[in-house]
Amino acid sequence: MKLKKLVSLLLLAALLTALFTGCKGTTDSGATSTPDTSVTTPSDSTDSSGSGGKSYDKTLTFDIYDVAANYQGMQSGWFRKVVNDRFNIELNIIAPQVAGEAIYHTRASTGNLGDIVILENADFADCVKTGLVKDITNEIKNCPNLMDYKEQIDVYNKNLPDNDAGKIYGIPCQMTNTSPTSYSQDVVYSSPLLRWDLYSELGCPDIANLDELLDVLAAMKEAHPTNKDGDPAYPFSLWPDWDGGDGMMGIANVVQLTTWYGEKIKESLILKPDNTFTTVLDKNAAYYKITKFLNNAYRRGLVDPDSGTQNWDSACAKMTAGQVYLMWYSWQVGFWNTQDRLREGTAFIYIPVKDQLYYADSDTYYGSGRVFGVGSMVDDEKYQRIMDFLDWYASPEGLTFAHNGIEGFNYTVGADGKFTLINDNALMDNLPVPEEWGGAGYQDGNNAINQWIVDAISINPNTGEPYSNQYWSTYKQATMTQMKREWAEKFGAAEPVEYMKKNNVLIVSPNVSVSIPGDTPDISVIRSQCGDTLNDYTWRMIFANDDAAFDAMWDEMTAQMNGYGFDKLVEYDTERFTIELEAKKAAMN
Amino acid sequence: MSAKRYIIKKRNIDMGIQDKLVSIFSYVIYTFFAFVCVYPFYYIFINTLSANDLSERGKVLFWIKGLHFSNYVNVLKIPNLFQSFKISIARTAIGASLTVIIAAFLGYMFTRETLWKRKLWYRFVVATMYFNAGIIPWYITMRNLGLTNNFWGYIFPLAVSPFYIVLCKTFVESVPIELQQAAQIDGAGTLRIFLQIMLPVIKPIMATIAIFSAVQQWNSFQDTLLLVTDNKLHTLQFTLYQYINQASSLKALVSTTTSSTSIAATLATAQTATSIRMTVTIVVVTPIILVYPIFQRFFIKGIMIGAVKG
Amino acid sequence: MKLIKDRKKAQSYLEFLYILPFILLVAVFSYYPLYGWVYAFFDYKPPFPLTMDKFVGFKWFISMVDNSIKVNQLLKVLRNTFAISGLSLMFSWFPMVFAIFLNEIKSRPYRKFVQTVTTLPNFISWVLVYSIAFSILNSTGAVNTVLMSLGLIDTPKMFLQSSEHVWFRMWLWLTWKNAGWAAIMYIAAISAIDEEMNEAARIDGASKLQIIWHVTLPSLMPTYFVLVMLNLANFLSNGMEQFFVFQNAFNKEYIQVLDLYVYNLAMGGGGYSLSVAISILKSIVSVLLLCLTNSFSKLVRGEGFL
Repeated sequence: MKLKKLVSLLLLAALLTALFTGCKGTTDSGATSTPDTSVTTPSDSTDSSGSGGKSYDKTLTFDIYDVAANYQGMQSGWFRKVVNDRFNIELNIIAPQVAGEAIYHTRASTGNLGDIVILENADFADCVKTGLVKDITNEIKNCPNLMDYKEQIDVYNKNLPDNDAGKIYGIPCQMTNTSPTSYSQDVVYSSPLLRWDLYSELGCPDIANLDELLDVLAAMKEAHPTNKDGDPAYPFSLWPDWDGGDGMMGIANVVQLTTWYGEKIKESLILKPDNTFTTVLDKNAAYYKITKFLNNAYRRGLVDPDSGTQNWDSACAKMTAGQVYLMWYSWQVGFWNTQDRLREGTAFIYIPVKDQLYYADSDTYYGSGRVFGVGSMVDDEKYQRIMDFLDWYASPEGLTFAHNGIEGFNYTVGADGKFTLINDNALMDNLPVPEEWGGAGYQDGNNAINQWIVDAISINPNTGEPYSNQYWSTYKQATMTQMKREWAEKFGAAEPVEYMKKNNVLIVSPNVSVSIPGDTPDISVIRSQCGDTLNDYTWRMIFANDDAAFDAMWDEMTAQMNGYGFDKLVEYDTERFTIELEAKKAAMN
Repeated sequence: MSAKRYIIKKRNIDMGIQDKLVSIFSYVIYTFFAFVCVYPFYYIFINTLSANDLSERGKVLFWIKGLHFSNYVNVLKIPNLFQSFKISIARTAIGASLTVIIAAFLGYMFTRETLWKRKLWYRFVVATMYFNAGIIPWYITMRNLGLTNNFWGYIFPLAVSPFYIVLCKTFVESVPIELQQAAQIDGAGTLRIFLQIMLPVIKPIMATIAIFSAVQQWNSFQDTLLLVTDNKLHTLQFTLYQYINQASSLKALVSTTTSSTSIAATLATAQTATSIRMTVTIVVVTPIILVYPIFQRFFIKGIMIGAVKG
Repeated sequence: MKLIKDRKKAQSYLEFLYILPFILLVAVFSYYPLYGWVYAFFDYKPPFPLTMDKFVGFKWFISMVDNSIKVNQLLKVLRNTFAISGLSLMFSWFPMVFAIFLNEIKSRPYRKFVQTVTTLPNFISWVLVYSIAFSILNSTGAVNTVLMSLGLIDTPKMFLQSSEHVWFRMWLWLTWKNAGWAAIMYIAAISAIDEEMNEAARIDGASKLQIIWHVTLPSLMPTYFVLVMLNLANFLSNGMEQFFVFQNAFNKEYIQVLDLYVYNLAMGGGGYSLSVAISILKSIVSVLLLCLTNSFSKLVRGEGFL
């Protein structure tokens, strides 16, 4: 009978697989489960870690609740070997970026986020209040590498609410050893970037303002309506799927461009160059100005018609194919600029627009807004191991691994002690890592924590240069090209930031450590309703056919947002960001 | 006499034409529908084998351009792939079998007039289809039951599934009641009637539910996200979801942390979120398509109710 | 007499014992967590535990309608939900008819082929559906290229950006994705029809359409009826993935259904209480609708389906 066959087939399959997989019941995520690897020899783990003399006989697993991670699960590959050799630990990453906001809700509700937590400032302060995070005041004193950043750590913790006693709970991320007011990078995060060949073709005209920028772009499009393959090219290709991320209000593309006029969007507010606040709905402020600018571009046929519906991947594909003539994120050039194109002079580079004044956040001396902490539920043995690990993670050795990878695989060390980049495609192409360093692909074994205690712009004491490989002298030599020389000659500076500093068009906003309160449930609902409205209308305004329609939509949007309680939001944000602004003013003096 | 015969004959001819038309019509419509359903899948398939930069720009529509296999090679290289595949098979086989058996049993029991408070319990079960308690109490419940980081956390919550029970009950109701009565007179108990009389008759609906719940189990990864931190219990869908997730953030990662020259060079084979998503779709669906015909066999009219009656 | 009665009673309890374990499973996994509905009456923000000072009563329920702009927004969202749910209900017979006529295909391999491939779209995630749609329908995509070269249009048509016929287009996508899959249930039901009845009808000289009308359709009606009733109770839930991937600033006015609205609203993280409040309301509406349709069914068919 067929039925018997079906039932017995199903049961058989069930039984077989049950046997096959061992069908584990509760597997404790704690110390017992060791992934099937054979390399660990705890005895050689102590020599290089600098925390000498301790024995790490028992393998421990750290659950790391990590807002920066985009991988959930066990660390594997070369970075696993690095930490396992030193501390006999496994890293088990819990990533809200993968699992969604829900995992924060659920884990927080049971009182245990993880053994190590990496959180945004506001959430961290909440977790300190509710006792999810351990007081590490005493133990951190025994961590020499972390104590190099004692000033920053102290300042951060003093600012935690209800912590007048100055107990230590958190270690800020991305701290630097430069200064809170310096700006060490060569480029700013957002500035107009044009193709050097197309720009030269037009005779390198001076660009006075946004209208003239559009003239230049229109001329480029006229001369080259398509890329080499005959696909249509546009100066602007936008994408909507980044909107609303990172607690932004307003669409991502516009938000960045406001910094061209020294105005920085802080949620519902705009911080103006004179250190006063206005709202994003202010018609005299940059959000309006930039939206209008994009609308003008659209009306002149310079905006990719698919801008409103394509996702970031499609936009990237167009950048890579040469279908885009204007870029504005510093990293965006990576999708076009290659060594060859830099040599040919067809790469993207910053072109000044004369009336612009750039806003940049200074080096993240006090940290970037995220914090490392230790979960309050860890036992003493694990606690000690965690502190040893964190201390190492902030040490030059740990930082070199985190930022630069493996010696001999990612870089070589010259006779003068300086580093030279090799295998620069290791991450992108997932190059196989030799067995002695842990095997598997480089990307597979890449540091899944994806967050650093010390920023890459900091100086590595062993080389005297920043950790970031783009600032190594060997790298700069290798990338000095004819194009770069022409650019330097025309604008009288070696790098964009040097030009900006010389011409006094760069506002560096000092880095401060303040804790800004998070949203109450009411505010967060208003924020998401207003944010959605602002995003939707902005897109429609960019695609408006005339000024009248544009302004009508702006007014409609204003009315709608006011209906949702925008003024309450502004009031709340003003209160929050004034704290930060005052601290910044203090830092300037 | 002859007149009547003629009429019948004419009707038969008309009907013949009508039947032919129905037939032709069906073929045309279904061929069209099949094309509309196959093409996207074909599109996905050729795109997974084409140069990823062309694919991302929508240049691959009808045939493969720039053949390469790196998408598949990369998927096969995912760490933990085999282990999570085993877990997925296990949860699908065990979970679906359990769901089917319970649905069939309860579907049958809820038709028994003799069951104490039958209607109440039926409603008690069906109503849960419309309740959503929210993620927090659900997680806390699972944790209190020890079902976090536990394979059975995949199985038990889905075991009693109201929708399938409704389907089964409806099906059982369509079975002539005489069948049960006859058995009852012969002295068969509730369970024996279920096992010997009902099960053979409701085979088609059981196969349907088996497909539905197997696919549901196979595709599910949300529970893994929230309940499981142990790599050994990761499911295939979760591992692949994670892989997609990582790839889409990789570009952002590269662009902010390493030298800007390395990205553009390798784009033809470098994966994009879409190329990975497509590859993953093919990898996940292929096993289902391979297994599907086994279930399809149960839709073909095997037994006639009359035969059972006799 | 009493003995028989007792035996009957014992039998009925015994049968209850058989289903008790499953009733318990339902109680534990579906009813017990409902205590979480209390979150709707608090200002809940993780990681802070619920304490009485955060009790806010019906604030979240009221906050949905506490000014005219929000009421307008909610009305629009409900309009979209009703339109899209209404469309799917109106065409809910489609999978059934699909299954019936599929059965008329005499070539078995071809029938199997059609049946298999029409379930394929069900396995393509909505995200991927959108990227396929985008690559075919964008300004330089295949459809626009063909239309332009035929001279039917002179500027590319922005299909995905258009706010026209959004509901209908969403229904088309959904049908494409689900019809073949949903048809499986009916295919199963068809295969259970007593072959003798078909045979008898054929001997009586009935045409194919007549057999479908008098034999096949009536046998499928119970299944169809129950599914429609269950869907009707689910009127307010359209799911959100499909609408999430197809939404953009230009069509949002028509595409934002209740589930998507809640998702967009609760994304900030603090919206947990609000989303619980909405899900309570949805549950209540569903159960009410369930009762309504049940009495309706009693009226029409003489028996309830519950």
